Amino acid sequence: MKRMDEQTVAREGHNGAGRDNVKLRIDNISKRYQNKTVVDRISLTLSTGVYGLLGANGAGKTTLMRMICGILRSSEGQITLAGQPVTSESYRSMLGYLPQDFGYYPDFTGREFLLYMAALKGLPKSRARHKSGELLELVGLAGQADKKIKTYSGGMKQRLGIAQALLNDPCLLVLDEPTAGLDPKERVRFRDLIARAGQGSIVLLSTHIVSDVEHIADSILMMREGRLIYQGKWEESRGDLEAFYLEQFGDGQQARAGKGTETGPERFVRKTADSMDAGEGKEGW
Amino acid sequence: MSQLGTLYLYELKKILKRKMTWIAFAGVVLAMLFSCVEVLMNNYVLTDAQTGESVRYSAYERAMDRQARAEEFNGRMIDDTLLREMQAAYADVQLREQEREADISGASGSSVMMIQVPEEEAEAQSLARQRGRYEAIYNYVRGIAGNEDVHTVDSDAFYGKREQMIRDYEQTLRLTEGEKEYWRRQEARTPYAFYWDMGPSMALASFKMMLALTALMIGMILSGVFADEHMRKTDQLVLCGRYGRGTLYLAKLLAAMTLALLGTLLVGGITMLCFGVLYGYEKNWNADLQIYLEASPFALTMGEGILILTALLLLAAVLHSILALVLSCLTRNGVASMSLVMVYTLGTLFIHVPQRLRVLSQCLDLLPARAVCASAFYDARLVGGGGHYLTFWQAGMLLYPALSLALALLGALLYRRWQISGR
Repeated sequence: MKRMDEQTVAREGHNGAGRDNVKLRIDNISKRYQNKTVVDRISLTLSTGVYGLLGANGAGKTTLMRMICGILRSSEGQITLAGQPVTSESYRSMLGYLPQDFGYYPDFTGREFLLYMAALKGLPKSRARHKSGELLELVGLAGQADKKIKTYSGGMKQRLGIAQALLNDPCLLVLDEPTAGLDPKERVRFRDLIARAGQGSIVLLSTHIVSDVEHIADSILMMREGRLIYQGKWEESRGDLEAFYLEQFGDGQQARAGKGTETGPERFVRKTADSMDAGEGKEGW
Repeated sequence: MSQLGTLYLYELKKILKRKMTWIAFAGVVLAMLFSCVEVLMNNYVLTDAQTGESVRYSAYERAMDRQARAEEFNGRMIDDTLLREMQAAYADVQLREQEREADISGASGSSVMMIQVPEEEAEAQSLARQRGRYEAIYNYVRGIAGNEDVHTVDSDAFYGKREQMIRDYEQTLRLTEGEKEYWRRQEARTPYAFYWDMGPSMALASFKMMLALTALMIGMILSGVFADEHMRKTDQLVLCGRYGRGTLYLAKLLAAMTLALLGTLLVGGITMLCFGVLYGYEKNWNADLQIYLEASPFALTMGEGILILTALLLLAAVLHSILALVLSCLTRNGVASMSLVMVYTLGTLFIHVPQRLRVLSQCLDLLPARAVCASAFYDARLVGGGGHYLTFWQAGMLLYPALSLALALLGALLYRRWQISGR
């Protein structure tokens, strides 16, 4: 009976049917290393939409995301997606993950890499071929699909990473610092892609760059020292999100969050990216 | 499990795309080829005892010469008739133990052949020809009967001496009464036939080298299977895949075993082919093992011995491949896991445990590096008790798959617990 339920959930996940009802439940999750608590009793329920997870370096964002992806065991608490536990195969079949810092098989071509990831995700061969081609087109790598990944630039690799995360049309898409390594034009394209994905999935997007999420996130989650300090929709009436973010992290944290608060070059990047929202950025990668 | 085949092919591809794989394959094949022909690179200088003139032979010429002379005796029983013929041919020869003073430079040995040269040249040449014909028989009988008795021994005494060698070795091995009884019950295959055994005996002797080289090759090509995923940070991607924890492990395991078996078959095949081309096998497969290993208690032919060691070599390849994978999973470091495989292989080859520590010594000798070699056929120690015994190779056939399975399960457990942290 349980097996049947798992299959139903997985099928619904792939077909997109019933996705609005799919919920990610995080119940009192913690991660401790000896005496240090990295994530401290976080409870959340997420449904379809884009969630921006903000926090300075070391706030526990990556640890939380790894636990959500089932690649790091929590010290306590439970995580389920559509009722399936994080350790189950059916949970993973609904998951797409783009880690913050990850690697490739340098001698694989971009297409081979996607086909391999598709096999890992359980896609049948014909569907894997079709979906890989579609995603390579989407991320602007169709022309380089048969070149070895070791010849790709950092941005191209990041786009390939995004493509692999989307291969199985995931119900839950977890993106850890996805815009790292992308140029301003690519960042804008990426935001559009996330916004589209968020229409039918739960998208959890971690960053310490406020501008990455303020335009596309339906809800904001803010972490500090392993705890969730803000959770909810951000309304313009509450003022500037960036100012709020700075306020929360205070002077002491500001230095650590320097890149995230877009002082100096990051501020320039944000402005450039924003200016592209209106036009050229939408042409392609 | 539906993606097992696809994932298996990708895992094969990953391993085959590593430079280390091809370097290891090429290195091991070259080393094995060298070891096959290395013995032929020696030169021998044969000095005529009468005139003092020296003739230089290549080792291959010498081997072919001996083979041509010995082949006429292939299949002849070592019985009184053959022994008398040989003794008549060597009637003018007297052996004297001396310090190494080789009459044949490059050959090992500590005895010197003293020849009473007849007055007549023709008679001397005739006797020399006869000695040449029976040289292989003479050397074989001398190995069992000893320098003094080789000229007088009859078949009863010859087989009695061989039996005594086996009994003496039983004492050294500290066999139990049950084990001694087991060997008494084995059918005595005496008298047995003489064969010129250069091809099969060289093949049997090469198993130790093959085992060592293939174990090192397996360590080199498979130590990165899990470690590379960690080093490249691809583990966090694959572990999130639906089949990333279960089926993928199985695919990696099958790919590793496939390459280990193929590599071992390649090395083994080249070795057998090499000796086959150089010396030929022909009927010699049917020679009794005792033609090469005089004091072996095993009632087997050379061909059976080679087949047994080949089976053990292949099972050992599977065991070593899984060991390399588990170490790769445990250490997450390719260099560390490769080093551990090398330490294990070289360690088990060279560690010596005294026979008085029977259990420890026997356990060590059951490990592939010590059991997959010709000299293991001297090992009369048995595994079991109460009348139910297994010889070393029968135990190996059960032990290696059991160890492989246990290691594979340990690896699965380690891989299921694989966590991504600290980056």
